[in-house]
Amino acid sequence: MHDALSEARMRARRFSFRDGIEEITLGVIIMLSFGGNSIIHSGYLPGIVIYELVILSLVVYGRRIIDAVRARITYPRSGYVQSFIPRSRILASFVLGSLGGLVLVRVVRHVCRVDGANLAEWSQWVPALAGLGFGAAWIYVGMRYGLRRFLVVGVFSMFLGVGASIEFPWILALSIVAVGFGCANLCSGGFALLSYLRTTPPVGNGT
Amino acid sequence: VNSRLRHIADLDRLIHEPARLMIAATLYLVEEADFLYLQDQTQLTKGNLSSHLAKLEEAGYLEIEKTYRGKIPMTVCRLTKKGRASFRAYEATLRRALFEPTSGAFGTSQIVR
Repeated sequence: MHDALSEARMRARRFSFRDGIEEITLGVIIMLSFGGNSIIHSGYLPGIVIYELVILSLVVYGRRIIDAVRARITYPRSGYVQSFIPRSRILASFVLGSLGGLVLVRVVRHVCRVDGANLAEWSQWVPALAGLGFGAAWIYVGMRYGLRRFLVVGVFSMFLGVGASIEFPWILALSIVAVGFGCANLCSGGFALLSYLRTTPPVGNGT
Repeated sequence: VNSRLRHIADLDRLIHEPARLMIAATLYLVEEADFLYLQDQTQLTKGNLSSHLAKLEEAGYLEIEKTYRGKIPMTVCRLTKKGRASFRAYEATLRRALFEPTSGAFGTSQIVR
C-alpha cells in the first residue's frame, strides 16, 4: 500500500514536468537574472531599470504566466492537478537556504581576514560554484522523479561552470553559465513540450 | 474468530471500494485535481468516475467545484478535512490488520517476500 501511494505521489509531482513549461519559464528567468550581469556592470541607468523591472515582473507574474499557458495547452490535454507541498517544508527550505547563505558569507569573510586570501581569486570560482550548484539541483530532481533530461542538463551545467571559470574572467563566466544553463533548460523544455503536444491530443470540450 | 482479523471489519466501506479507493488515494496526495486528471490516473470511464465522485461528495469526503479556465469548463475535486481524516484512518486500519508484525492478521507474513 505504501509503495502504491509513494508511486502515485511521485506521478503527481512528475506530472508538472510533463509539458516542459516550467523548465522553459525557469530557463528564461535564470538566463535573464544572471545573464544581465553585463547590463548591470555597464552602469547604463535606463537599461538597468528596465532590466530590473522585467526580472521583477517575471518573478511576480511567473506563476500566473505558467498557469495561463497551461490553461490553454496542458489542462485540456492531460488535466489539472495542484501538488500538495506542506508549508512546513517550504518554510524549512527557506530558513535552511538563508542560514546556508549566511554561513557561506561568514566563512569566506573569515578566510579572507585570517589567511589574507585575495577575494578576487576566490570570486574567480563563483561561476564554477553556480554551475555545480545548478547541476547538483537538477541531477537531484532528475534522479528523484526519474527525468533523464534533467540529468543531462545537470551534467552540462557542471561542466559549463567549471570550464567557464577556468577560461574567462568571473563576471563574463557567470553570464556564460547562466545563459548556457538557461538555454539548456529552454531546449530541454522545448523538446519536452513538442513531444507532449505530439503525443497528447486535447480531450473533448472541457471536463 | 481471529481477533486481529476484526480490524478488517473496521475498514471504511465507502473508501474500500476499489474505484473510490483509487480516487481517494489520488486526491489524498494532491491539493486538488480536475476530472480529466482523475480519469487519466484511474482509467475509469466518465460515467463510472462521475458516479463514484458523487458518492464521495454525498458522504462529505469530497468537494466538487465547477469552474472555468479561460473558456473551458473544468470540474475541480479536492478531499475535505473529513475525507482526508477518513483516508488516513482507512490506511492505518488496513496496515494494522495486515502488516503489523505483532497484531497483523497474517502474523509475520510480510517478512517473507
